[in-house]
Amino acid sequence: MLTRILKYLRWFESGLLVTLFLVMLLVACAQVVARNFFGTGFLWGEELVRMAVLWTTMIGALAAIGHTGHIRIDVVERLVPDRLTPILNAIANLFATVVCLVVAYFSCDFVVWEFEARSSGIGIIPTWILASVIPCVAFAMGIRHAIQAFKPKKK
Amino acid sequence: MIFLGFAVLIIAVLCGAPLYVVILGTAILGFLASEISLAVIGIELFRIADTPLLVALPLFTFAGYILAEANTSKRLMDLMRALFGWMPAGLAIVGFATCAIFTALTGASGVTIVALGALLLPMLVQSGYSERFSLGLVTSSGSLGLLVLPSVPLILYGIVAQQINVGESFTVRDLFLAGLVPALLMIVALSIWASVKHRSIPVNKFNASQVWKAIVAARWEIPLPIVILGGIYSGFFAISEAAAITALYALAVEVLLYKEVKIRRLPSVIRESMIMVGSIILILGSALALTNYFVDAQIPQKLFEFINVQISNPIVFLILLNLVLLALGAVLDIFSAIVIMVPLLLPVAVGYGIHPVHLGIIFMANMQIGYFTPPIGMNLFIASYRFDKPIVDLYRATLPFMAVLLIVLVLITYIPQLSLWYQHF
Repeated sequence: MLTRILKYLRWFESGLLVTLFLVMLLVACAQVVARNFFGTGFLWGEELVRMAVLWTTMIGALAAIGHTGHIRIDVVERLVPDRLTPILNAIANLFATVVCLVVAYFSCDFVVWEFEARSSGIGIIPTWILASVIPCVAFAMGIRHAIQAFKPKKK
Repeated sequence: MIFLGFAVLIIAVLCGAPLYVVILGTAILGFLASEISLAVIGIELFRIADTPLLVALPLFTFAGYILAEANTSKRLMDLMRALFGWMPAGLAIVGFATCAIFTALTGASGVTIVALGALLLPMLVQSGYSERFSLGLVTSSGSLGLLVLPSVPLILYGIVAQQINVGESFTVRDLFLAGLVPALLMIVALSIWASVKHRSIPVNKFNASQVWKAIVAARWEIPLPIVILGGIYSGFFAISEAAAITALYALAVEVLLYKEVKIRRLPSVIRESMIMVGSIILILGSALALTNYFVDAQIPQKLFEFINVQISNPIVFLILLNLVLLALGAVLDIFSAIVIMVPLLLPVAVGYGIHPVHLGIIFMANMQIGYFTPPIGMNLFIASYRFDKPIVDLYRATLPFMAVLLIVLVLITYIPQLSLWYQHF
């Protein structure tokens, strides 16, 4: 049951990544055409592209955990005997969990401020909804690092 | 309490915690120590959405992934071979040029070694080049091209450097103009050395019909560099605009015209490239938060004052800079090295009168050599794995290439005009 939910979540994540990228690509290209041939860019287009970059970054970074993995220094791992690597892996991932959860918790403050300021992001979409991707994904990343901490690593 | 935190942080680094976590962890401890609200981390991460140039990263990276997925590398090499194969040591020169172009397009992530190396290595050995030379060539050329448009690391340098106000303003286009001469110098120096060493290898005659055949095969891809180079260098396209056009064009050409990337494969190519980009930009965002702390704690100034007391001569500083960057390039991957070191180094370097654009070129040139610096340069491992050779063989094979590139590095470092010539136009 749990593995099935996790599988669907991976699917959802991939779908979101592909959609965000295609939106980014098409709007960015439309901007080029608009600016060079009609002399006018559209403002919400640029905002949309910039927000798509933020969202793609966060979701891409989430998808990286347990997949190809994040960039890290693995010198020690190569030096110690193989039976110690699960311990290193657990420590590294638990530390990552703590950092992600701290970021998630405190960036909620930022979202609340944006909510109170009622600033608008893209057209009528308020900034706080766009910014809420940061605490949400940071939380999910914390959970995923915690799962990774106890997962046997595939060679 | 803070010291305990740093102790835990160092243990986590050694255990192999992801770099973004290490950077964020350092920032958290720094902000705690100076009693700044941690909400600032959310604000800094949100700045990812406030940097218009950043969109160039996902778009160029995706284009590189698509090109690497198709047979672009083979067509590019056929074309280069037809064009330059008649020169003395022609195939070696073809190797340098092809690797440089392919690395510029795909980033120095090892794709060049994996995709092009496999084509080049047997070809070189068959043509009479020694195995050691051939191995050295494909390994050391895997990072050649970091200074050539549209190299993503150089764009990233521009983005990071522009976030730090050092008084001298410049654009990413300036960086690529500055990179032209140093990049050419490296290719020319390597080519001269290769042709002196391999005078005796027979050369093919120039064959016009072969050139035509290669042009016809690559007809859809040839406009790509022309549009990127022409568009950006002439100033017609902004970097992010060129990135959008490149991504869409590469997508259309490889999926619809060459049909080498199936539409069904497309979602996973997008996914893979965006995972790569996501982890890079997250490190950038984390580094923005850390830089904010650095600036707040005046760390770059203190660093400059500290170094300035020991070293007053800019030339000595440059020598030290080269040594530090070479070591760094061997240990850290290029993106992390940029986002972590540039905020610290740039103010110090400017203090010694080094132009930010010149620093960018020095930075990339060092990183490029760092990629195959023993004992742990990344490309050495990739080549060892790909060609199934002991890593020690690769140390030996790459050493002469490194010597040639180090000579060029010295020229680039101590003759700023090689990079800054564009200012006179």
